Amino acid sequence: MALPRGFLGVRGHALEWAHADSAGAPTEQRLMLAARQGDPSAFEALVFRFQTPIYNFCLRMLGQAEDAADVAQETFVQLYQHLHRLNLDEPVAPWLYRVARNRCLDVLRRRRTVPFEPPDEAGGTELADQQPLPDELAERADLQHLLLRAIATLPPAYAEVVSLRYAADRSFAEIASILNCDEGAARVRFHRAKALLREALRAASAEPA
Amino acid sequence: MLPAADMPDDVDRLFARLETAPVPAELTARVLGSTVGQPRLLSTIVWPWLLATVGGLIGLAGAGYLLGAQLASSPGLDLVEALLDDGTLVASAPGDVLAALAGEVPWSLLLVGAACLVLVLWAGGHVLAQPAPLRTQRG
Repeated sequence: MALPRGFLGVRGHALEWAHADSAGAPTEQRLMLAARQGDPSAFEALVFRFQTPIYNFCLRMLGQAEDAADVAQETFVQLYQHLHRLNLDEPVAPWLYRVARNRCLDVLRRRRTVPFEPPDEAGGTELADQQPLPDELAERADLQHLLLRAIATLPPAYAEVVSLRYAADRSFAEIASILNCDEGAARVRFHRAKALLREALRAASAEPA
Repeated sequence: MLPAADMPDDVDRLFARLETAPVPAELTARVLGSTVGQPRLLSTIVWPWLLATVGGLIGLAGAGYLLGAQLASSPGLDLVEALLDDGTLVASAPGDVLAALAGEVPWSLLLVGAACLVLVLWAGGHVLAQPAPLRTQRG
């Protein structure tokens, strides 16, 4: 694909933004302001800053690299289109994850391979699987594959909370903000998801490596 | 100290080893090609010019209709026809022609029509100068 006009020209500036940021400035707020004022290198620096966690979140949600890249791209395009409407006093990460999450759910709905039902946070079906996992699981050569497969077995409502926690390294407060629920509900959903993961991993550990 | 529920367990420790996948090499270029690679977003720049163009066209049509109606209901139309039929009138009696025109032509409407025409040309030029929006697509 041909690079956009000025791409090579702004690359150096974007790296300067990134370098300056590691030294304490500019803040995300400054980048957003500069991008809003039409500075392409500031927007590029924002993309550099968030593309890895956003892409990984999408990848864990969707399980397919191509779909994850598409959703990540759409998320940043939406950021660009909403630069003038976003509140600069609020961090942009939760907004990005919300957009990415909604796009991922759209893709999952289109696939129709898994039932999409929001979990019943107040439900009484307690998942009681707390048996420890076999120690040798951590030594398996195909551990990465097993972990991804375990996430893929989860219903989307659990996969999203697990992806936000493990792949995007978000706090429960941030997860609650992204999922538009309270922190307690986010914790409950995560612990139920973990019980399902434990079950899936134990089943996987019984298979030959 | 972390509450018991937040203490990492074996599942947490296992998923702490989940590797971060590298971002596809072309993702940044795709994002920039769909955003800053375009001079400006169509939605943010064209609509005001488009509205101005449409407004100008409506004004031009209204002014033209009223101008025609006023000329038709007065000797102004006959005067214009006479001037168009006989090109020598202006040369032979320019003062009389100008005086007749000044009295019969609705100049204010003519000015409004001219202003609308200028608006249409100016705003329409900006609309036509916008490049077609790029579609978001894979590399």
